[in-house]
Amino acid sequence: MITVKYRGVLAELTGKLQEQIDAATVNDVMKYVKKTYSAAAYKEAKKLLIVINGDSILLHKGFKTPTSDGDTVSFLPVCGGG
Amino acid sequence: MRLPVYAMLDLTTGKVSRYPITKKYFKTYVGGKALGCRLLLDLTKPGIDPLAPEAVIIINTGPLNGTGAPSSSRYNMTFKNVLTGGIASSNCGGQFGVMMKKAGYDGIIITGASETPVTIEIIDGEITLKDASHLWGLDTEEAQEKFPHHYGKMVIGPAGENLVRYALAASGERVSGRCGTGAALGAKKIKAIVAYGTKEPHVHSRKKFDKFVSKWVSFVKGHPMTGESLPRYGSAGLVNKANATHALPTHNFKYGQSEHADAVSGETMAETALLRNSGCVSCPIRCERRVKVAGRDVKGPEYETAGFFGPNIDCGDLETVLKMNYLCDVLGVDTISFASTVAFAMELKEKGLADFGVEFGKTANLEEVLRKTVAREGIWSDMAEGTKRMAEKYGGKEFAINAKGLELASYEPRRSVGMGLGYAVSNRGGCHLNGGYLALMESVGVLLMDAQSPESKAQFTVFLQDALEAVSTVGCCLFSAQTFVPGIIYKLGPTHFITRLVGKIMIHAGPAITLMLKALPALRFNALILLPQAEAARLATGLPLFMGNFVKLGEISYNLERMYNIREGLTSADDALPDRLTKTPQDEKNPKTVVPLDKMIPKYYKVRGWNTEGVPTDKKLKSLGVIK
Ligand code: SF4
Repeated sequence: MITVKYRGVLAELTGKLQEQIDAATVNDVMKYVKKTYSAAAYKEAKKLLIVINGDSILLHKGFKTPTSDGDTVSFLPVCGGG
Repeated sequence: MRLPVYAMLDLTTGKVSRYPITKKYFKTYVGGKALGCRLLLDLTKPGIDPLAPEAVIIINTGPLNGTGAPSSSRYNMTFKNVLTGGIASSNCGGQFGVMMKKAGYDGIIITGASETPVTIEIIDGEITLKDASHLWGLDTEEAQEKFPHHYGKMVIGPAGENLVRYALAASGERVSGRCGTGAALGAKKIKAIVAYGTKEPHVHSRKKFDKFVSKWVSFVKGHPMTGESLPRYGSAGLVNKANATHALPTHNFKYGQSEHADAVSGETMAETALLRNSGCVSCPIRCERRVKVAGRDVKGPEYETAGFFGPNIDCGDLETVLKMNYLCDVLGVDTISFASTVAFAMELKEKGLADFGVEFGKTANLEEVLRKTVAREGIWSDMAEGTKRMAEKYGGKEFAINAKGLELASYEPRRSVGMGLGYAVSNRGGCHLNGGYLALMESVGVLLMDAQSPESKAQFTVFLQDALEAVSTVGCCLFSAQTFVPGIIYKLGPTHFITRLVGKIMIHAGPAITLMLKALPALRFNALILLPQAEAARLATGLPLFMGNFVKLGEISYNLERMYNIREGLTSADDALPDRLTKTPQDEKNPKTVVPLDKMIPKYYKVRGWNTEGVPTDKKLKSLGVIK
């Protein structure tokens, strides 16, 4: 089992801040979101920064990044500043 | 053509006079920081002490200030940098800039020094000096409460009075924090400058301007960054993003990722502490956080403050971050420089080099240390000097995280090497904004170029420095420039293949940027989606500020600031970073995780048209129309 965390608009759309699911890759998490929640939630999830155990998945294998028991995958809004 | 109205005020004699700005100066330097730097070069002799009576402070606005253009309430302070000895330019929102303009002045030039505390009052064209002895010792909140609500105010706190080198000036709850603005004013015994007036700021083509501004406001509100993300999370939304790419300074920049990041992030702040968002005058972005500290509704922290009072000192307590942010503002110190100095002091203690009573992960006495630093009490007076001077006294230069003496912002440059270049060459010292802010395209934004590659970083840095410099010069907040990245890219998100493809193309786009920089005079157009500030400034001034000329205005300003630094004795040796960042890989298994300055700086000088020593050539200055 892995923990999936939702923030901001995505948390509003899924109605959850976090949940535990079975997934072998980040792609599986995306499939889970698509299957379980509204099209709007999936659309929102796709545009967010996806982070595994604190690291951007772009530092690893993107959507193909494998997940293991106890991992946390978070969806974070893209922000700006200065 | 209306020329800017400037007054000169000699505090030693109390004399106030008009200072004429010629047509040539207006056409070349326009206003704000570019004109400010020109005047500082003209009006000061080389080598003076930044805190001496001969030092000059220029407080001015750009042509968009007060016109109703988005995010245009900013005033600028130009003076000799109290931390670096080079140029200082620090801008701020709040009401002061708008009110100074409405009172009839685009800028004031302050020379000399008063013997006793003074307030400068600028009311409907009249400038008078008032005794401020009764205000001396008050914090920035208390001091502002002494003036009528409708005045625009700018004040210093106890830190400025005590010449803490990184003291700030506050206008409302906004601050011009960097470079020692508060100390520069405090040295002249200026406690407050207040303004009030009813004049409408001049706009050359009012009808066209208003039409354009209304389009611009809609564009800002509809853009995912300025219309959604910044209002919802503020700049502190970057904490988790920087953490995700190992670009979040942790334990005095030893690491780039922290278990404490989420606890002090913009998301957590929005979920647990945010009362509402707010904003500066005439700003549709409204990025400001309102939070509760000790039962009071106050301004919340920016990204840098959250990172520096959080992971960089191994703290994961949001309450501490909120409280320290507030205390720094009211006592009058820059949160970046103070918190970075605290982290340095913590590492000095860890290495057994000095003991200022601070330790990583222990935050219970931070308020006490801040108060002692502000009061310059005992050894804490050394902390009031900043990391550069502390390292000269106690050692630890390799982990004193500053460039030229100004503490770096909260982006770990070993995971954002273009930002590292920007910090090193930035005219005012370790500043991300004056440095071109490439971190936004390397490690914390939506479009990500290869953060470890030096390729094309020099060209992007030059272009972004110049563009941001121009945006600042005309009077806009730099956040308003974040619409430069097309909204569609945010809609696709950072993981979409198109976004990643654009990032991959950008890393090879250096030569194209060089070509574009050479072709600037030919870019005689403006577009809402590129730099709307240019079109607004063109309509406000009547000057031919098309895209090319607008970026050139930034280039003029950048070169002038460099000329000032050179005149004051700074050299290419000062375009440097501490050894921790250039010699010690952040990830010991990945030798690429250092800032390869040696590869980027020669290219940067070349793209700038400077010689190998980093000095603007006569040919370059001539092409810019800048006199030495
Ligand atoms: S974006 Fe934020 S800092 Fe900038 S002018 Fe608007 S409210 Fe002020």
